[in-house]
This record gives sequence, C-alpha cells and structure tokens, in this order.
Amino acid sequence: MAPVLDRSRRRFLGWAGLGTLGLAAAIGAVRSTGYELHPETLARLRVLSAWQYVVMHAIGRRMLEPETADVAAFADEYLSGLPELERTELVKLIAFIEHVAPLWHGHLRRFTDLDDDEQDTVLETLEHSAIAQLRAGFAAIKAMSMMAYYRLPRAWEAIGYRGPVSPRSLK
Amino acid sequence: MIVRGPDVSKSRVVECDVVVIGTGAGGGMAMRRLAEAGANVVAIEEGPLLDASDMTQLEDDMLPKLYQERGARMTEDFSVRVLGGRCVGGSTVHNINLCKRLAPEVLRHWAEDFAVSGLGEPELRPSFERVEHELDVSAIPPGDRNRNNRLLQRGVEALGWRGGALSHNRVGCQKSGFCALGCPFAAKQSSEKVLVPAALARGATLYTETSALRILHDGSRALGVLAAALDERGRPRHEVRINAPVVVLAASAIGSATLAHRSALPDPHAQLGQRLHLHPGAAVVGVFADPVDGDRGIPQSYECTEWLDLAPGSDKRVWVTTAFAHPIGAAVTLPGFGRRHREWMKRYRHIAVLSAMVHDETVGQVSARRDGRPRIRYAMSEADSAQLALGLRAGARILFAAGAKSVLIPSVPPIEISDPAAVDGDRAVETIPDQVGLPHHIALTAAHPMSTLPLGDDPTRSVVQSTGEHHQLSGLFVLDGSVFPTSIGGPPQIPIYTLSHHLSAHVIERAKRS
Repeated sequence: MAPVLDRSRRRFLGWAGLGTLGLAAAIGAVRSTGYELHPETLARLRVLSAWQYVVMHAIGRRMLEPETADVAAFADEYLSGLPELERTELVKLIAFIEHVAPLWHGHLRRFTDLDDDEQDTVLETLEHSAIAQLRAGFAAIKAMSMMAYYRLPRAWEAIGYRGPVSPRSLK
Repeated sequence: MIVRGPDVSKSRVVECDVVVIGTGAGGGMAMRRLAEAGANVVAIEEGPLLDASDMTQLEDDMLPKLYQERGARMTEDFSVRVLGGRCVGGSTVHNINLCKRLAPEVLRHWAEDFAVSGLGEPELRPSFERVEHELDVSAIPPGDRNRNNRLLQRGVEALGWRGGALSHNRVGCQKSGFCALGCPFAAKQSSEKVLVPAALARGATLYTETSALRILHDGSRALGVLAAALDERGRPRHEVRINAPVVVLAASAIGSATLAHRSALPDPHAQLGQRLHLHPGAAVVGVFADPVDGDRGIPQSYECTEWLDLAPGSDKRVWVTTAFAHPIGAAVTLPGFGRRHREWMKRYRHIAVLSAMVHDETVGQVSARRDGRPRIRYAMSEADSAQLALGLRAGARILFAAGAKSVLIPSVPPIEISDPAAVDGDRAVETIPDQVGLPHHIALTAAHPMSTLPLGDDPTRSVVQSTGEHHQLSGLFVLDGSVFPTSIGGPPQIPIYTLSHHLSAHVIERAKRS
C-alpha cells in the first residue's frame, strides 16, 4: 500500500508521541498527580481517567469560550461508543496536548497549568500544524467540543436555530 | 417475519433459498424482487428497524442511530469522513432523496472500457422507469425551493451557467429540513418503507441487529452466511448460520468489500476493494445580509452542472449543489475555536452553503482491519484536488452573483473572500489554490462510496460478472454501489435500486436452478 499512508496517525503518535513524552518526562513536565476530581464525577466516568477528564475540560473551555458546556463528561460518553482503536487514539491525543504540545512554545508546564492565552496558542498551533495528523487530531477534539455545546437548546437559541419541528423530538 | 437479534436466545441454523446481506437500496430491492418471485428469502441487517417516531431530529441522537460508527467513520488518515447507513433501509433512511439516472455516457464508458455487457441505457431503461414509478420519483416543484436553493439558482442564472431542478422520492413531505437525520413524517419513499414491507408480506424473513461475520463458501460455490445476533448494546451474542445456495451481498461499497475480505473470497487478480471511489465534497459558505435559514425546507432542490461533464477524460468533474447543516454540522465545519468560532456561528441564519462534489478518479482501497472493521485508504489525487478547487471557485462565484457579502472556504487556514474579483479570472487560482483538496487541507465528506467489487466480463479487471455474479464463486451476487466500475458523478440511490432491480432477474434464475 502507499508508503505515505503507512505512516498513519497511529504510527505518528506511537513514535513522536512516545519520544516527546519521554523528553517531557525527563524534564519533569509529565506528572499524573495534581488532578483533582470530585469522587462522584470520577465514579461516573466510563473511559477517561481523572487527569484525562481534567485536560478535556480545559480544552473544552477554550474551544467554546465564552460559552460553556460539560465537554469532558460528553467526551467520556462519546468515547465509550467508539471502537477501541479510535478511543485509544483520542486518549493519546489528550495526553499529547497536556504534556507535549506546550513544550513547542517553551512551556515547561502542562497544558492545564497554562493561562488562557497560552492555551489558545497551543491549540492554534495544533489547528494549523504542518503535521497533517495533528490537524486531524485537532479537528476531532474540536468536533467533540462543538457537539457537547451545540446539542443544547440554549446554544440553538443563541444562534437563532429554531430546533426540531416535531413536538415528540423534545419529549 | 422480523426477528430481532436481541430476541435470539440461542445459536441457530436457518435454511433458505437466498440470503440477502443488507437492506439498503440494493438489498431491499433484491429482497422484494426475490420474495415476489416465490423464493424463500432471509435478509440480515446489522442495525435496527426504526420508524418515524424514532426520528427525533436531534443531531447527537440521530447520528449514532442512523450512521455507521456514529457518523464518525473516517478514512485511515482521517482526511475524509465517509457516511454510510446502519439501520433497516441503510443509507436510504438518511439520504437527501435525490434521484438521477445513470448518465448514458457513463454506461457507454463502462461498456467500452470496462467490458460491461447488457447494461446499456436501452437495457436499463425499463428498470429505471419501474423503479421511479415504485418510488414516486418526481421533480421538486420550484415553489418548494428554500432560500439556500433559490440563492444557488439566482447565482447560476446570473452567471448564465447550466443548472436545473432536481428530482426526489418523497410523498407527503413537510419540508422540515431534517432529511439527513431521518424523516419523522415518513415522507421518504425509502427501502425500509417501500420495499422491505412488500418482501415481508410475501413471506421473507428479516433478521435485524444481526451482523454478517463471513460469507460461507467452498472456494467455488457460495454456501450461505455466518452471522451474529447482537444484544441490546450491539455486542455479538449468538451465532446464526444461514445455509443458502444463493447469497446476495448488498452491504454498501465499504461493508461489502470488508465482508468479502473477512470471508477470504477468491481474488486471483487482486481486484477486491482496490478501486474505491467516494465522490468527496467540501463546503463553500456565503454570508448574506438577510436571513437564509437554510436549515428549513427541502435541503437540496437545485443543481449547477456547468462544471460537470461525465464524458471520460473530461476536465469538468465537479457537481455544485446546496449543503446546509444543522448546528453541530455547521460548528464542526466553520473555522477556528473560541470567540473567533463564535462569531461565525452568530451568522448561522445568514449563511448559505454550497457543496462541490468531485466525480473522482482517485482510487482508494478497502480492506478489513484485524478487528474486522473496514480500513479505508483514500488520498485525493492532485487532479481531483484541482477539480475540487474548480468547484469551490465556482461556488464562490455563484454566491457572490447571488448577492453574498463575503465568502468563506473552510480550509486550513480558512480563506475569507470579500472581493468578488478575487475568484474571477486569473486571480481565482491564487485565491483558492488547486491544492486545497489534498489530504487535511479542507474537511472532506463522502456519502457515495462505490466501485469496490466492480462488475465486468474481464475477470482480471473486475470482481463480479456483468450479471452481478462473482467471477469465481457461483451463487454469490453483489447488488449495491460496489459494482459500479467507475465513479458515476451523481447521487447513487436510483442507479443502485435500478441495477439491483435489473440484475435480480439473474439471481432469481440462479435460485430456481439451485
């Protein structure tokens, strides 16, 4: 098969992700501690771990600003319905954004420790990355965030969308 | 009789004359035709049987119900989103009901260059007419055009380009605009509404929520299908073995090729799954001073064919029509995030959306992953990317001609155009470069996968004969979009219904002999 395609996003994340995660670990940017989550929230999670939930929440907050939605909870539910392969890839991407992407801007801190402007810069870099797989990953994370918000009637109202026309759709 | 997978309490063996895999346009038609001919037919469908009351018009609810992989199926490199149905009726439940015949020049191309016999326009005409009659195909009245489509028409007419009304298969349409999420008014004349009930009334059996695991064969003859009855959560639970001397494979170009790979069908010339076409398309957005409200009304009712010439080797291979989306679809397509994205979404009511769909020459591949799911490989070629760019430029010109204040190409980075002259003449290529369609430059969506088990009389260049029967495996017929030897350049439902209607005669004959 075409060699270009053989360098799939999985191989990219396997190679570049592991390599840079290793680098990040060496300089102390990777820590799995310091992520606080209410035990009740934690108990409800189906796919995400506590730290992944916190990271997804932070990503969702920047994606939707100034609006808000429970992007992390939605992502957890959404990921639970995906095949394992896609689920694993998206979880890897969350780790990448938290631990690796900030290094590109010289931040020796995790994504969740950056301020709003710094987080936006990291996300913009992914959105316009020269690496096609990172752009695709950004699109996937953005899609989950947008889905979490634009399924809500309050979001429809804000953009003038009139919503379903059949009464039973809102039963 | 309908048997739901979750209601199957233990493994079972079923005997029948013909087993049909899939209940979309191809499978539904074959099921009905065979049942009418008196065959003992069993059909299996991976998804559930839904009715109008299941169609909530909510994107987050309906995408997982109606579409394969929750509507998130992608090519392996994540460059193209590939849509496909997963309920009784297949993609005819969520399609936009556009009805076009196979173009005579496409059929001639198949005959002259792909050794296809017996499928010329005169041979197929009776089946086209019969199908159109059964599905109540009619031209969409001009008065039923929503503003998004009226703007397309206005722009096309202002430019003096070729365009026209589209036809559909709806009866009792309420023009709610939710076709892609399933019709809550049962107005679509779709497979599960028109064909499947007719087959059941003639004694056919339908297993829903039952997934085909592999086609059974001995290397030269089809023997049946091994399937799994799924539980309420979609997990395989009990084995259903269906013994039949005739098997009809109609699980879509993606599903059929994947199942054929999983079944290790004979493939001496390595043709299986090697010629995938997708009709990839991308959006072009126009911002208007007055509300467009493109989410309401019949989504697609007008087309621009100025840049579509279906003759082989043509340098005009792009079809422009409308493509409005509900909020989630729009939010995913519009550029940026945060406040920048929010500004775009505020214009939701004021945007008109067109799509440029490529009659593609790019050849992709479909195979089976280790977990049995499809692996779809497709990297748009430079020539097709240039066609997409041609279509996006045409879309931008149409929108400006219709009065748009500005136009957006939602590529990475986005192209925002406020000067109509930027998409006219020599400047157009600078504004929207030919490379815009290359992988990951713009969100591509494909709803028409085809050509993974192409037909033809030359076994070194095709998988099935012109009759639809497999070259190496007698008794196995393929009756879905997989069999198109090339891209067809238009909506595939009527071509699939028609080919299935026409080729079912060979299946009936084979079943009688068996």
